[in-house]
Amino acid sequence: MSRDRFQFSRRTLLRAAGSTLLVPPFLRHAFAQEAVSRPNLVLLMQTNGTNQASFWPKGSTWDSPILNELLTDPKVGPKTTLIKGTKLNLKGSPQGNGHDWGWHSLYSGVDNISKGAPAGGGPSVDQILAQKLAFTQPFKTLHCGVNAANYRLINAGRASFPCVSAGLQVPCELDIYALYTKLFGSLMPKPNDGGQAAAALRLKQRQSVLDAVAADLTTLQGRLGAQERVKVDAHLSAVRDFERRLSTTLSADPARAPECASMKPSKAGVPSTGQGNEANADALNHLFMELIANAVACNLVGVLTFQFGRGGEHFHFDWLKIPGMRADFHDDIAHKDNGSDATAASVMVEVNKYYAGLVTELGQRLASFPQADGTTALDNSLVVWGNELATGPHGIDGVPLAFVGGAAGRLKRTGYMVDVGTQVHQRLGCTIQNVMGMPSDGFGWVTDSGPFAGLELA
Amino acid sequence: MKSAIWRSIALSGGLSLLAGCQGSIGGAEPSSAPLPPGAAGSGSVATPPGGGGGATACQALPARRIRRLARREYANVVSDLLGAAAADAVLAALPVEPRVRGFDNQDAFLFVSGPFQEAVAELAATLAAKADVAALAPCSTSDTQPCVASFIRSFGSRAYGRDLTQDELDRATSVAALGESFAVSVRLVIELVLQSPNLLYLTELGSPNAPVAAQATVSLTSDELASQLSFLLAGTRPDVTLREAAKNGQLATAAGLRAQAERMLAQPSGVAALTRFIVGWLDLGPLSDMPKSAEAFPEFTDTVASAMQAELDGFVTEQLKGGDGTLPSFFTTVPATALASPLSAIYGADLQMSGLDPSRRRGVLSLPGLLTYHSADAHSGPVERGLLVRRQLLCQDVPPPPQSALDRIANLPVDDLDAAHTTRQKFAAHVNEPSCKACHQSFDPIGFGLEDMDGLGRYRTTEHGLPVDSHGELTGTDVDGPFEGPAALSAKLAQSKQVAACMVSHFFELALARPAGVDDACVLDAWTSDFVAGGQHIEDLVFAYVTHPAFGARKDDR
Repeated sequence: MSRDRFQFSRRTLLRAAGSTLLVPPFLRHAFAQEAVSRPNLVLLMQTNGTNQASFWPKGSTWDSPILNELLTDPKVGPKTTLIKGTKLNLKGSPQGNGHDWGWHSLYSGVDNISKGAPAGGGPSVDQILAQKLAFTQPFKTLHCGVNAANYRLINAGRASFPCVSAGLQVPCELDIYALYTKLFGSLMPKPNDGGQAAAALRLKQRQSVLDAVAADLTTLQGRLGAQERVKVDAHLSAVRDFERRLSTTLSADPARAPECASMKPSKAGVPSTGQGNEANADALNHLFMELIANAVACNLVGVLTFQFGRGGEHFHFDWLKIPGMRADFHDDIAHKDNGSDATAASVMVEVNKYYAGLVTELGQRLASFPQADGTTALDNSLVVWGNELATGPHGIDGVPLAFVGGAAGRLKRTGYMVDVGTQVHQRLGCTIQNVMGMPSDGFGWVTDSGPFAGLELA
Repeated sequence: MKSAIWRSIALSGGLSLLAGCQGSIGGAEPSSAPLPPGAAGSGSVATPPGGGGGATACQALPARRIRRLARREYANVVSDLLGAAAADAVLAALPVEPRVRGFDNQDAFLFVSGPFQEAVAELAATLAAKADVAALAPCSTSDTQPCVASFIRSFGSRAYGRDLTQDELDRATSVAALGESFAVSVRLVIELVLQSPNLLYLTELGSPNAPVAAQATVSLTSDELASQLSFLLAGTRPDVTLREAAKNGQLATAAGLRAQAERMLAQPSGVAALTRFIVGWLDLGPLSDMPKSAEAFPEFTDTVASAMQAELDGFVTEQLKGGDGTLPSFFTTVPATALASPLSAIYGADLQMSGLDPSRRRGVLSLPGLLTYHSADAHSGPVERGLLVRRQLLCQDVPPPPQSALDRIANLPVDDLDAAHTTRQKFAAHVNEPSCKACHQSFDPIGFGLEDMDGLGRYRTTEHGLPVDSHGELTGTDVDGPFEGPAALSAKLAQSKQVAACMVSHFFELALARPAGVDDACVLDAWTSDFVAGGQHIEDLVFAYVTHPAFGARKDDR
């Protein structure tokens, strides 16, 4: 990836120095810059747990009925790290059930709260990173998903998992084509209808409009108490981010700029659908894997979050034509995968193989983008594949977790499974923060968890 | 005295029921759940001076607040400013917000995220570029500066529901000055106004010049009162008449507020607002979105869904416009469905030349549209229907299934495909297993009483060839007792004071865009008393709200 932070590899710098020990000051500075480089981060959220017996490789083998496609892929398997033993570590007994608990807590580290319905109890790690780190990408964060639509009260919180703060849910963007326009549209060559001067004037006008909006917000901010000010703070931050994107030349990976400017979805005319309508779910899942890979390869988003459906999803998976599938996967399969229902178990495995296939596809797509230094977009990314539950019947012990990608060298080693016993899930957020260059000792309500034990971080 | 009665009913019927449920299964969070009406915490109720509409005023005021407009509301404002086509663009560009307890305007679920802000900014630029400047800002002089200034004032004040401050005028003027032509200047003002927080938020802050005094009472400005009224009854900023009333001080009195409310309710937008309330009260969404199993219900075609929707909408509108507009009428009126209805196959023998059989089809609960919406995707859904009555119509908060209950579900599954038992028989585990029974006993028996209507609202006496048992029972309410079928259930609910109090609670949620809390019990009690005493006219909910002192007062939160 030819982003500025990867212009000089450590090896190149050392070779330039002519010695592994004598490094001139300007190169030490370059090392320092490299030290703060960070991977593109993608957080995936699956629902309804997995079949534990078929998920984790056994013994010393790298073989798993569910993960076989992922682990045996020649490019993606060696870049995959499994984290076994993650336990959803709740502080209390929050409202709702395992779906709500994991949905809201896996990436936030805190219990969900009630806002009439279970809702996120604090900021998710993507939003924390966006607030704390200086991302250079045009978009600090982007949240998208498939079939995450409109719900009744009891499930309103399950429409989206990232939160800016307690109860302030980041909306899930569903329209794949609108997202292409949003992400890549700005990279398209502008029509030369008025020349550069006209473009500069228009930019100045838009900046002026946004400045006025920001001033209106600041005035409003000054009139509010602390609780209400949170709303305006988030709004103001959004305006500033948007202005930044407008003001800077939106450069994707320069080496790939023309390619990025012409990025398009491989399939047209697949509309997002509402709750319960899975007609396009499969096509959209694949299109979103493609979008994520394209966005990462073009370095357009700092942290990209994606949800396969909503919390406690009720997909029927008709497109998979799985023998033994029952009327409702959620109720009739996942909830019944309790060790005594062989049909439920076999369907659960097939459904989870489907998700593993999507993650494999994402990895393959990332691996297909070579970088100038010989690495691939997969090497410079960290894809976290998480799940709201450990098992279909709402188990919270053993949440299936996989890291895919080299994390820009932040993972010292990949292609193995961390299996050192039970670890609290707050270690996930802590690990992510440290990998992303935000040193931290804990995450969520556990301030001293540290990152995952057994995971070798650079 | 009446307040005490309602509170007593609610406490004995609602909270004691819940306590049993929670006590058995745990995992609930009662302090954060919306309160049943009348469930006041002691010490939160007082009797301050003043008050309109015969209601007792309350000291515990809501805090100052801003609320982001819902997508629908924002589209309405844009429509007023730029025309209906612009509103369509808004609806296409902005995400649909969660519908919480039936309503789309709930403050806790609305905020301006990065994607939302960007969508609004892009939308504002697009709409500004398309705006018909000649129509919006006609200018016949060569010196266009006064025209721009005039446009900023008029357009801005319609958008914000108030006159612009000098700072706002100055900022807009500076932005307009960057336009290379008059038209571009106007477009830049439009682009600014459409994304300004002054349009995007409904403020409940009082005068900007009021001194800060923590916990002190803050009076909303007359413009804020007008916007509160207008967003409730028209879903948009105030019209000219309401703005004038605000300017002339007519909103300073309960009578003035009521007069404006009466005027607005008489308009189509007023009926639409009440319809929106009824739809939310019944927790209904579009039937076209209902996931129904094609195997179980192949008859649920787009045509049938559309006909169900039309019948449901028509019934609600008829009660509000042509009927007596009371809460009981929603339970007791026989739907006026004609024999030629596309739903004749659904109704079967219930629909004759003379109309629907009133012994089976009476009230909104007997409509196929409602019975379809509140059912499971593959069967009649006694749990869903029971919860509709218990949670939504009685406001008795049943917590979501806790982990322990879901573990039980995994071990005691209900098989939708089992054709050897009726739906009721399949759910027998709910009353046999203590951990299930703790909660399910409060709502399953209600749903069982509607078992004579299948998942599409078709009357039935058998299921899988087995006789259907549709004997149900209401417990823990002020209208306890057995019943059979939706008409009989409706007859009971029409008599329930708890249902009336619950409807008031729902109206509170719509009007204040948040669930009621402990501090709101006084207001709820007062409104409920007036509502019941006045014959439970839906419009009276509006009058009780807008004439209550809490309508125009807030607590200083700084």
